[in-house]
Amino acid sequence: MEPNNLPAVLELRNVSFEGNAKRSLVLADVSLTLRQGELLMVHLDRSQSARDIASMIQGLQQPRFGEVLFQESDWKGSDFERHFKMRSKIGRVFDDQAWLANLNMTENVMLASEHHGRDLNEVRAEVTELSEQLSLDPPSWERPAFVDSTRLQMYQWVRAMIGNPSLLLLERPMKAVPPLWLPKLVAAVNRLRQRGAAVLWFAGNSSEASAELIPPVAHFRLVSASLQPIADLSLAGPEATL
Amino acid sequence: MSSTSLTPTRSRGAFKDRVFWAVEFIGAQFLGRCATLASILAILWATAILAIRPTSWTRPVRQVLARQLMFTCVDAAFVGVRFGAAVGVLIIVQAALWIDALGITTDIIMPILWKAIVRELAPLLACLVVIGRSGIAISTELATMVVGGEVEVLDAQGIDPMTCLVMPRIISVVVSVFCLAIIIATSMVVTGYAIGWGMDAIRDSWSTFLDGIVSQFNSLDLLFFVPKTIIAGAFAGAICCIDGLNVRGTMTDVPRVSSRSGIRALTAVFAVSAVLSVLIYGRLLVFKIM
Repeated sequence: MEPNNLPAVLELRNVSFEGNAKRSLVLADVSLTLRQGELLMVHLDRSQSARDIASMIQGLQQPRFGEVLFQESDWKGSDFERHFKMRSKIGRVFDDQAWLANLNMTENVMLASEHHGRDLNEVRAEVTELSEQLSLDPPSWERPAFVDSTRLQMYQWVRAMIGNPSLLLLERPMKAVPPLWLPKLVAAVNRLRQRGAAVLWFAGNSSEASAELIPPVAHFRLVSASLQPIADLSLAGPEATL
Repeated sequence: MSSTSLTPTRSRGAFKDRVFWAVEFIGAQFLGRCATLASILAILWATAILAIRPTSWTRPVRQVLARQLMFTCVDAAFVGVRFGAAVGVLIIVQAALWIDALGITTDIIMPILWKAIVRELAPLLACLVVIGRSGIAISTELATMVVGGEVEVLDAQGIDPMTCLVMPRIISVVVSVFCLAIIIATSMVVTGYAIGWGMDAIRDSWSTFLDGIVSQFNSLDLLFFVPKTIIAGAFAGAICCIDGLNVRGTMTDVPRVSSRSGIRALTAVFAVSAVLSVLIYGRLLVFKIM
């Protein structure tokens, strides 16, 4: 990625990490810096899960070695108030379980924004606007169990992008979503990046590397626990399909 | 000869081993109980600190509290009335038996019944209703959320599970035990009067009967009733939340954790009641504490 002088949003310094799940990605002495407006796409194999790594980036799991910095603050110590405030600036699309089963979709989508004290009407307007941009009905009063998987996944996009997050973590965001919706997602991500958000995109399919993504964009894949840049996207991995 | 000389040495060694094992076991159990008590007190302390901070009471947290109160207290009110009525009948039957056997009047038996209801039966029954109805449900819900990854989803959005999940639930259990104890005590007294009047065991009018009860009420009753309901409720709520959040494994472990949580909460309620009795009345069994 081209060096620039914008502030770093996410830094991994010599991080070694091993998640709890069998499918978790393993990192060995990985360093990277993600600055405002940058997008880093990591192409996953079908067998790989980014959930634990995304949790490590959010300070929910600790790396074995090295440190993770978000906006130049680490996740160490017991200042949990600061950690929760830092996490409130990170939008995330989860690979797997992503919803609270006993809340309806509206409550689920707006939960974090409401909890962090944002004006309710402002949040509602933002959800409606973003839903319209994604050609999606606004979240309903149904519980997640009664919503089809495509809409559930797209509501994750809405939830991750409201509140102007500084960092966007996308774990297989196109899972269960037909490819024709990709341009909508890319446009929304581009708008967010233009406002200064950095994006870490764990792609489940090499076709997610849309040409419409505005630069700077870098593509990597994990080989032998380290991030290897991909020059030719056709080599992103034959198994990299959903 | 050698075998006879070895036997006492071996048995002495085996006895020593058994003593060491027993001491180790008792020590481990004691330390385990201390650790459990420390974690319960830590959760209760954190709950109190979070509850007095206005910033904790965001709209979602208020909604969780309202829903939990609705389920634990309001929905359980009729259960409390039924329990109180049934136990009120039992008590009045017992009272009638004592009156007949000892040849005493209702004036003598009434204060004893009133103290038994307010100081012991109503708080205990309220705890039973809340643990059976809501405590187990709380530990099941939290355990399911942990195993299903929902707690991580909350955490990842910058929402403190302690503020959003634990604190409102413990407060609602405390409030519910207190309110249900009042409902149950009232239900017991009203049912007891109705049955006693119907059986001709009580001949006083309702107002006289009520005046008699009110005149029995003293500050010691309040001193016992308030801490007993609040502390027992807080322990029950904290235990159910701790057990639910500490679940490890898969969804099949959730029922095991929930049933164990119910038993542990009940045990704690009885233990807290016993300790409070000793502390408030200053008596351990029949011996006065110096």
